[in-house]
Amino acid sequence: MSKESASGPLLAAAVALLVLVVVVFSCVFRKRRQMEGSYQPSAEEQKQARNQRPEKPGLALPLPKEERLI
Amino acid sequence: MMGFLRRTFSRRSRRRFRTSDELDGTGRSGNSMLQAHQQQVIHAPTVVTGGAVVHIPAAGNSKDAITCRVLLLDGSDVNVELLKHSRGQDLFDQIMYHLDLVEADYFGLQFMDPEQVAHWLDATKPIKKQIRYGPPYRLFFRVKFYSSEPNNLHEEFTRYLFVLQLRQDILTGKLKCPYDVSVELGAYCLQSELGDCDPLEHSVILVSEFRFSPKQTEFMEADIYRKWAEYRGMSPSQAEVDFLNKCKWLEMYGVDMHFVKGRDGGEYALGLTPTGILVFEGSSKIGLFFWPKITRLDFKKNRLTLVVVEDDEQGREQEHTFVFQLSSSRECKHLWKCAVESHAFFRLRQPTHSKTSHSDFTRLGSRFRFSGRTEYQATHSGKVRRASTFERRPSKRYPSRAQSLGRAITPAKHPHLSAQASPSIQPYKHNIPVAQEHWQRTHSSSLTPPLYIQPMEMGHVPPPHSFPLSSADTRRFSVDENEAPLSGKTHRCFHHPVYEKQEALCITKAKPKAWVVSPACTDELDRALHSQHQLETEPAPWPALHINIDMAEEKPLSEKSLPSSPAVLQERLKSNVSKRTTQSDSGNSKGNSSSGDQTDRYPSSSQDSGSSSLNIEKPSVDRRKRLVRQFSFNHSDEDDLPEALAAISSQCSMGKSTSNSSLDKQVQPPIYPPPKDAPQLERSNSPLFYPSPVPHLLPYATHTQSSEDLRMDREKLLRALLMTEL
Repeated sequence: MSKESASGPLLAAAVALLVLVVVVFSCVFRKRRQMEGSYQPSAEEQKQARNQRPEKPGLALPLPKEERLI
Repeated sequence: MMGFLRRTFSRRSRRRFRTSDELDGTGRSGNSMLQAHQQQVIHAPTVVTGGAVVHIPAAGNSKDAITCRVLLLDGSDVNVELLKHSRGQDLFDQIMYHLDLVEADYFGLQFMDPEQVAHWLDATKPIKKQIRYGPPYRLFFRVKFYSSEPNNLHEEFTRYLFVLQLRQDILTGKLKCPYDVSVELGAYCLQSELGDCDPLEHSVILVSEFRFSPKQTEFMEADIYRKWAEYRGMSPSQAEVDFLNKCKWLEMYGVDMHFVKGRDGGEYALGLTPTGILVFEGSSKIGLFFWPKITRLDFKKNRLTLVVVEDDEQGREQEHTFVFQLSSSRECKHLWKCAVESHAFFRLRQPTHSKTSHSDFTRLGSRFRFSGRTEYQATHSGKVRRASTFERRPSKRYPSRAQSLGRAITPAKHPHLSAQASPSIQPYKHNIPVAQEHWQRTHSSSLTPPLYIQPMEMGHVPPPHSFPLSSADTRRFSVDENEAPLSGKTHRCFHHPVYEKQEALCITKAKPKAWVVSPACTDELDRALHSQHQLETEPAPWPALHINIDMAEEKPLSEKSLPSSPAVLQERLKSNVSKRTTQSDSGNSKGNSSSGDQTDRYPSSSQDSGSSSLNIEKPSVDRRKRLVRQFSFNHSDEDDLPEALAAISSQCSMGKSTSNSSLDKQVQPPIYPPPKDAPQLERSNSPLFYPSPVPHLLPYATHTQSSEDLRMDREKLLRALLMTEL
């Protein structure tokens, strides 16, 4: 009980600080989201190739038929 | 508080980027070049006469509706009312419904923001959030992705819209077209619009009412007329298909240009194409980065970073980093978004399903990805509806040459003509699409600009309503683009006597103006040159013709025998060859003017200029042809490329990937400059830099020894761009 009442303003300050930090970070994040961007074209293409492959397995080079040795 | 925070937390980055911030933009040349380009792109003159203004109320009964004005390709204005929080997709759907367009994936809506940066309307975001400049919102309906294979466009209407867009691009100069190609394209347009060429009804003068090329001359119009007769029997649809098939081979077809600054501060441009990113230095191509080879494409503030891997001869992969700077962060983001969309549209089969990663809250960087259907999906959608009809709009017409000529003869006095010419200078300035003034005017008054008045009333409308073209100017400035008008001097094969006279008169007037520095002039010549000076910015050929006719008429009045009468001209033309041979030695200098006496000066100066121009133009043409051949995307792998492109859209996956990779392998010759250049490139503080030379990124066939120098230059440029540290 006493602990709570003594740390009340401290808690409020901590919460306020936390809120401030969150606000600041959100500003920073928003700014950076607007001002920065990243894209990896070749990675996208590789992802695509990988996704395509399992769909069409039949198009792999057909293995030659086994030969029969007479 | 946010501003304070922004200032405090970004002070360091601000200081670093202060030299390149957008506040400085207006004063710099790069920005002005970009603006000129954007003027061309956005405020391009319409090619066809539009319909009436259409109003689409789609907001129901709500009071707070936003109004969007969309300018379509056929020149019509569509006013759409939408609900306040509508997204881009809603507006797009309305336009598609109004146009009755099914293949909407190739098109987009573009708008300009207050900083004169063009943006594509994002379909997923609210319109109000994107266009910050208040209502009414001005948008332009344009082709966003130029299909790499126009034969894959399913519908005739889509092809028609593409033709309209390409005609607009050619007219504004965005798509550079060599002479014979533009002649053929013009002939296709005429065949599509007027049907078969009927010599009884259609004459060459009729051709001059149309505008096909920014450098349209009478000679070109005559060629177009002849070509048009060859396309007898073609239907409009077939003519459009042929038009597109001819256009797709042009170098700059489908290239989305963005102007950037390199690390060395020079002006470069990046062009986005279906196969990769082209790098231009000024206006010459110096590199092409293929999409599979680009590993990273990032932007930060106003810097764009490109990381490319190349395989050298030993099969090792090497990374090269290029950094480009743009004049503002908005432009940079726009370029990045365009590149992302372009890559996804042309290279992927379906748009990436962005998996929301765990760091969605704390991620840094834009989450923007292409949303929409890719080209593969568009061409393989398979749904073809029953034939729908649409109306082709007639092309915009301008006063023909004969009309302006006829009108000029009646007020035959010279000072009257110059008075008539000077007010024409003002409208000409407006005729060049000036985005700045136009943009400032737009939000107040009506947006159908007075520039594009349909000159249907031919009564006393002076020629300057017409689109800027001038035989005088073309002969002056067309050495690099159109060698034919200059070489047109040598062709005397006009059937029409009027044209012959006009052509000759034009030549005599144009040439002396451009090349001759005439110290001692007669009064007529003085006045003629002075009026030419006045008309220097006035590009219409007709005032020049007016002057010439005037000269001819004044000749009997004065005894100073300037040989401007038709008879004398004819005679002089016949003696062209002999004069040129005698003066070919002295004709090499441009400024060589007055040789001989007065009576001879005129023809001799024109001969000098003719021969000098011929002499000068020949080596420049050869050199340019050599450069074009080397730099041309089409020539070296012309046969490979369409197969690869067709393969992309129609073949199976295995075939596609192998053909793509084979194409990539094929067109990247492993040619490197000698390693003596390597020491220049070493930087001590960079661990990332590999001291091997920059690989030859261009798919050019090896040529003669002179190509070595050019390659060295190109590689030097690429090396200059190479960044080892941000």
